[in-house]
Amino acid sequence: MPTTAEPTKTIIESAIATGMGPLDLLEQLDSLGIEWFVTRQGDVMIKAWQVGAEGFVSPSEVPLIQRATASPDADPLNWVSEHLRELREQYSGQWIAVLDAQVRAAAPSLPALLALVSAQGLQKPFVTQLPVGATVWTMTYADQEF
Amino acid sequence: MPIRSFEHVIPFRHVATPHGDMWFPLVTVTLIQPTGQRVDLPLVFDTGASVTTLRHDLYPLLGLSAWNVGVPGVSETAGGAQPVPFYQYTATIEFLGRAVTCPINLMPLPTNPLWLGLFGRRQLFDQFGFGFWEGAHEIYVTLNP
Repeated sequence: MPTTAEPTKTIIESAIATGMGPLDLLEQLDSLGIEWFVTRQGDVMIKAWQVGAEGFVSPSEVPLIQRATASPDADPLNWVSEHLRELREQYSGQWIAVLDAQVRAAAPSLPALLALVSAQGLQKPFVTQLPVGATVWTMTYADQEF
Repeated sequence: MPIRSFEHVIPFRHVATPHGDMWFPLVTVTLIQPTGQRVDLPLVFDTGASVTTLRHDLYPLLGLSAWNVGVPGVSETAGGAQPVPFYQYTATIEFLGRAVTCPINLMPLPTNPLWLGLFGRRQLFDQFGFGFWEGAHEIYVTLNP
C-alpha cells in the first residue's frame, strides 16, 4: 500500500493511546496493507514509501500512467463489479470504503463510514453502498423496468 | 468530417445481472469534501443529465446536515414519468486529474452498488471532450477539447 511513514505512525500512536494490544495493532496494519516486522528489541518497524522525484510527470499524464501500469484490481470500480456477489453477501445494507482491492471500512451509515475512513487515515477511498434488497439496474431514461 | 483525438479510454463495465449481461458507461470521480478529504464515487456517464446528480443520502459528503437544504427544483426526466424533487449545491469534483467546481444536485435515486449518481453536463462537460462508442463499449475522453 503506498503510504508515508508519518500518517502510519500517527495511526499507530493513536491505536496505542486507545489501549489497543500489540496483536490487534499488527492485525490492523495487515488490514491496511502496511508491511511490518518486530525487532528483537520489541520495536515495530513499518515499510514506507518516499518521494523519488517531485513533479516527475504532469498531472494530465498521471491517470494514463497509472492505468497503463495498474492491475485490473487496482481500479476499485472494477474490483467491486467483479466481487459484487460476495460483497452483497457480506455487507448487505452497509456503506463500504474500498482501497487497494480490499474493503478497508464498513458501516451502516455514511457518516459512520466517513468517521472510520478519517480515523484510519485512508486516502481517497472508493465509497459505495450495498443495497439490502434487489438491485435496480434501470437507468435514467430506461424504457424497461426490472 | 472532423477528426478528434482522445488520450483516455474508459471501458464500459460489464455486469452479470439477474436479467442478463449488461454494460454500463460508468466513471469514477473524486469528490473533494469541504474538509478537504477526498472520496472516489462511481457515476453513470449521462449526457442527458443537465447537472451532475448524486443520490440524496450522500449529503454528508457535501458537509450538509440534511439533503434538502439547498436550492430546490424538480427534475422532469430522472427516474421516469414522475417529476422528482432535487436540491442544488456547489461542490468540487475531480475527473482524470482535473478539478472542477460545479453545481451538484441531490436527488432520490435507486440504490445500486455500482453507481451513486449521474455524471452530468453543466460546468463539467465543457472541461473535457467526450466520444461515446456503444458498440465498442467505450467512452473516449480528452483533457484538451
